[in-house]
Amino acid sequence: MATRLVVDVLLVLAILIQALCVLGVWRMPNALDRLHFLAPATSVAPWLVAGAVWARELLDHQGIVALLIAVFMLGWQPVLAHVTARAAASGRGSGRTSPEPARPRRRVST
Amino acid sequence: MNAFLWAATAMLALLVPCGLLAVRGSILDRVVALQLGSAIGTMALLVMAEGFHRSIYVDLALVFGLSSFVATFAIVHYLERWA
Repeated sequence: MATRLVVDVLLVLAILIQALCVLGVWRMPNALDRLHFLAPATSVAPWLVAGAVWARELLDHQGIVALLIAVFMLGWQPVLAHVTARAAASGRGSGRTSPEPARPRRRVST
Repeated sequence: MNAFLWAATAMLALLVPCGLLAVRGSILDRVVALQLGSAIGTMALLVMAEGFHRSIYVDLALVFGLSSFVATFAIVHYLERWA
């Protein structure tokens, strides 16, 4: 009974955090603001879900992989957010929906 | 239905706004929506594995998380190189 309560609480918290992140991403005006709402969904929610899996399965295959996914998302999502913010700060791809055709290069006559 | 399947249903429903943003926004907004959607999708596969007692879904979640990281990294790298 206690295990079930712990699982329910952890899953509800994970869904609540993800819902708030989706709401934040939906409501923010530009990509740099939206990026802030990726952090809780990728660094807190996976640990809550992994905790819920651990509460039922402990250290079997699913528990270990859930922990691995949480560690992986905690480690790599900041890298992705940094790279995306760098692309947003450089102003590239901010308003276009398809790449522009490549311009022919000018030859420098010597 | 157990708690894990309810959680999976809620997470799959949360993918809808991400998909709409990925359709409507600018390219960087789409990339952000893709990142959030892949994170939520990975979590949904994880709780589905627990709900259905299928351990293969856990491996699928791991592979999906890894491949979505590589795909998003490649897309952003491509965006940065646009002149």
